[in-house]
Amino acid sequence: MNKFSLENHPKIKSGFNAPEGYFENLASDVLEKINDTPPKKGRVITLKSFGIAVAAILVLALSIPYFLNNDSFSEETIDTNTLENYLAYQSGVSAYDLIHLMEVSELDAMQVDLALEDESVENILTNNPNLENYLID
Amino acid sequence: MQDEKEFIDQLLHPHTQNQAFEKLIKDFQRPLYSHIRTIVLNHDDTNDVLQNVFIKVFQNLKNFKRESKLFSWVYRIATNESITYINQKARKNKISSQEYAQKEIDNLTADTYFDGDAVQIKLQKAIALLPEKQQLVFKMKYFQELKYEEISAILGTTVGGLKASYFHAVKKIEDYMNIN
Repeated sequence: MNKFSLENHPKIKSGFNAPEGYFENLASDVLEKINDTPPKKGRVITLKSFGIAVAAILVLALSIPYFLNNDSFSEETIDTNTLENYLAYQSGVSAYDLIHLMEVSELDAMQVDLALEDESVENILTNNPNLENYLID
Repeated sequence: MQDEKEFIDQLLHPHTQNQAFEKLIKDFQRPLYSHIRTIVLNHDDTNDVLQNVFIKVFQNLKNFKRESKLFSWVYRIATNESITYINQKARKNKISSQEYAQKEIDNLTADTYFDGDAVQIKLQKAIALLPEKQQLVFKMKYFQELKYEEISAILGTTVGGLKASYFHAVKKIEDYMNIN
């Protein structure tokens, strides 16, 4: 028996056939399907919400450096007078609270002021004999 | 090619699109049917895949890069769709795609749309035992009679690589035909 060789053997056809009339209707069937297929709505919505999510994340991510570098929120930029006025008139912070928050050197500096005040108090006391009544009390 | 450029323009233009697409279907339906049928083997599956291929082509026309030929692009979509289809079917049946193909070939004798004889069935069985790439190259060269250059553009493999695949495929098929 001769050895089988594809080259020498008569061409073997695939043997596959399509039903009769199949190719006459295929184009119209396909076009009908294309026209019947609504533009993928679900997918569009998904992409839209996905886009919105991406945009939101981008905005947040891009604004992080802005917040980090923005000095308007740091205390240095608040005007000193405004801060003092606030502490004096608006806040419930008492003088004792402030003393606790102050450095020793700051307190020392303030004591000089107080010493001067003592002198003026003494002057007032010596020049105002009526005050002795209060002191006795 | 000027003709192809014009034809693609017509496919993309809303006013000429439907008519041009109908022409594309008419031009490609027979060779694509044969190509898909040699991969998925039965008519009903071929019909499903072929219709999906045309729908995909239509939906993706706007993304078609003109650096490749329309022919290669359409054939590439058809090849990928067919392979994905049989792999999915095999997975659904919990068998390998090779086992699936053997089963389909066994059914060919009862297939109304197959008029092959014993030798043709034997050849199909021999092909189904080849690695996927060799199967594709053999089917495209032997049954579809495509040129190596055309197959190369479709599969993205060098002509040298394709020749080697075809040579190995022929060798294995001949061995199978001689033994069985």
